[in-house]
Amino acid sequence: MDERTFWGFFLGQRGEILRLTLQHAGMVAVALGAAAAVGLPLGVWLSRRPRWAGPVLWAAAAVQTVPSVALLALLLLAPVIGGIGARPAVAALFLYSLLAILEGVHAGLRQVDPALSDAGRAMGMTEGQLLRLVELPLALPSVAAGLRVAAVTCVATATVASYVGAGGLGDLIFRGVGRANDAMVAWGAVPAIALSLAAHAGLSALERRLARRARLS
Amino acid sequence: MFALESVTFAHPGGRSLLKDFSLAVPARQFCVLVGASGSGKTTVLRLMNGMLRPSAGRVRAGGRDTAEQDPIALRRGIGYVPQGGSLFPHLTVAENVELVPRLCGAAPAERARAAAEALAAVRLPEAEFAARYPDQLSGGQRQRAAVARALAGGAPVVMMDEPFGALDNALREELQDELGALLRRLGKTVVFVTHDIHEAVHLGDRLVVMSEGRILADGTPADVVLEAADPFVVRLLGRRRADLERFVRGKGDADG
Ligand SMILES: Nc1ncnc2c1ncn2[C@@H]1O[C@H](COP(=O)(O)OP(=O)(O)OP(=O)(O)O)[C@@H](O)[C@H]1O
Ligand SMILES: [Mg+2]
Repeated sequence: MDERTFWGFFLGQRGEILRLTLQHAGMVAVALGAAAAVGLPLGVWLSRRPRWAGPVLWAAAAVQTVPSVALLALLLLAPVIGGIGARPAVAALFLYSLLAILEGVHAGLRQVDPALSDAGRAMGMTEGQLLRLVELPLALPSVAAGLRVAAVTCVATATVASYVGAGGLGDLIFRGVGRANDAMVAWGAVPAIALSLAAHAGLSALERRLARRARLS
Repeated sequence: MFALESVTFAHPGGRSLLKDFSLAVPARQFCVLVGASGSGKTTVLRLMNGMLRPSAGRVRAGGRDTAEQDPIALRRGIGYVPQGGSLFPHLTVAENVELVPRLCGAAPAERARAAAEALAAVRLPEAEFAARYPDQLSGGQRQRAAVARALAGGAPVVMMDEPFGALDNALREELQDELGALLRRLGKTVVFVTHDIHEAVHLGDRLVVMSEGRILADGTPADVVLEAADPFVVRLLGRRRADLERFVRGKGDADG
C-alpha cells in the first residue's frame, strides 16, 4: 500500500495516528485540567479584589503574546518543568489556557446583577453561600465559554509541542513536511481539526445548557 | 426594636443624605416610610439591616448596636423584600422561597412546608407556581413571590421596599388588606417602604413622611393626614386628601 496517498497512509499507519491523537488529547486534557484548577479559584479571588484583576489579567494576556515556539524554548530551559518531553509542552499549554479561563470566570462573576448579590446578602447569606448559591451558578455560562476558548486554542497550539519532543499530532505534521509527504501532514492536521471541533461543539452545548439553567439566554 | 440614633450617612461619592437622623421602630409596630423617589427610604432600611454603616451615630437592633452584632445573624432575623423583588433567576419559585430556611439549616420537609405556607399567604398556589422560574411569572406574581420569600424564614421583623409597585390597583388593595392582617396576626415588626400615601395610610400603625433625608411628619395615619401642615406633606396628600381624611376618621370611629 502506498503510504504517500491519503487513504494509503491511514491504512498503513492508523495505529500510530491513533496513538499520537491520544497523546495530543492527553497533553491538552492535563494542561486544561491544571489551568481550570488554578484559574477557577484565582478568577473568583480576582473578582473579589478588583485592584488585582487588572495586573493579573494583563500578565496572563502578556504570556499569550509570546510566540508558542519561543515560549516552548524558554520553558525547555526552565528548571523542574524543563527538559525534553511532555513537561514543557504541558506547561506552555497551561499558560496559554489560563487567560481564557481567568477571563471567563472573572467576566462571568462581574456581570452578575449587583441587585441579586445584594438580595442574597440582605437575606443573610455568607460570602461563601452567595458565591455557591447565586454568583457562580449565574456565572457558569461564561466560565464554560472560557473553557471552550482555552480548549480550542490548546488543541491547535499542542501541535507545536513536537518541537520539544512531546509527541502529539505535530510529529506527523513536522515529519511529513520534512519528507515532503502530504498524506502524513494531512493525517496530523485532520485529527487535530476534529479534536478542536469536538471540543468546540461539546463545550458550546454545555454552555447553552448552563445558560438555559441560569436563565440568561 | 430598631433604632437609628443621630445617624449621619453619605453614599460613597455623594453628599451627605442623612444628618442627625433618628427613627425608632418599636417591636410589633407596622411602620410605613413614605416619601418621594430619592428621599432616602431604601437607605434607611439598609442602615437598619447593617448593609450600610453610619459615619456617625448608632443603629440599634434589639437594643444592641448593630456594629457589634454578627451581620449574618442580624439579617437572617429580618425578612427583606428588596426593591424590585430580586428573585434569583436560576432558581424556581419554590427554591427562591425556601432559601432562608435553607440557610438556617432547616430540613427539606420543613423547608417545603414553610415555602408552601408563605406562597399560600401571598396567594400563589403552590401546585401552579412552585416549579416555575421567575421569568415565567407576571410582574405582580414576581412581587408576591418576593414577599413570600421574606415571610418563609419566619423572621420576627419584616422589611419591605415597595413590594406592591407593579400590581394593579384591585390586587394591590386586596393584598394590602390580606398581608396587613397577616403580618399583624403573626405579630411581626414591619418597616414598609412606599411612595404611595394611600397605601401608607391604609397599612400603617405609624406613618413616617420623608423628604431629602429628613422626617417631615411622624405619627399615626390620622395625625399625619388630619394635621398636615408641611407643604410637602400637603402636596403628597394631593387631591386624595379628602378621601384619606374620611378614611382615617372612619377607622378612628371603628377603633374607638
Ligand atoms: N449606591 C449609591 N451610591 C451613591 N448614591 C446613592 C446610592 N444609593 C442611593 N444613592 C442616592 O441616595 C439618595 C437616596 O436614595 P434611596 O435609594 O435611599 O432613595 P429612595 O427613597 O429609596 O428612592 P426610591 O423611591 O426611588 O427608591 C438618592 O439621591 C440616591 O441617588
Ligand atoms: Mg428605594
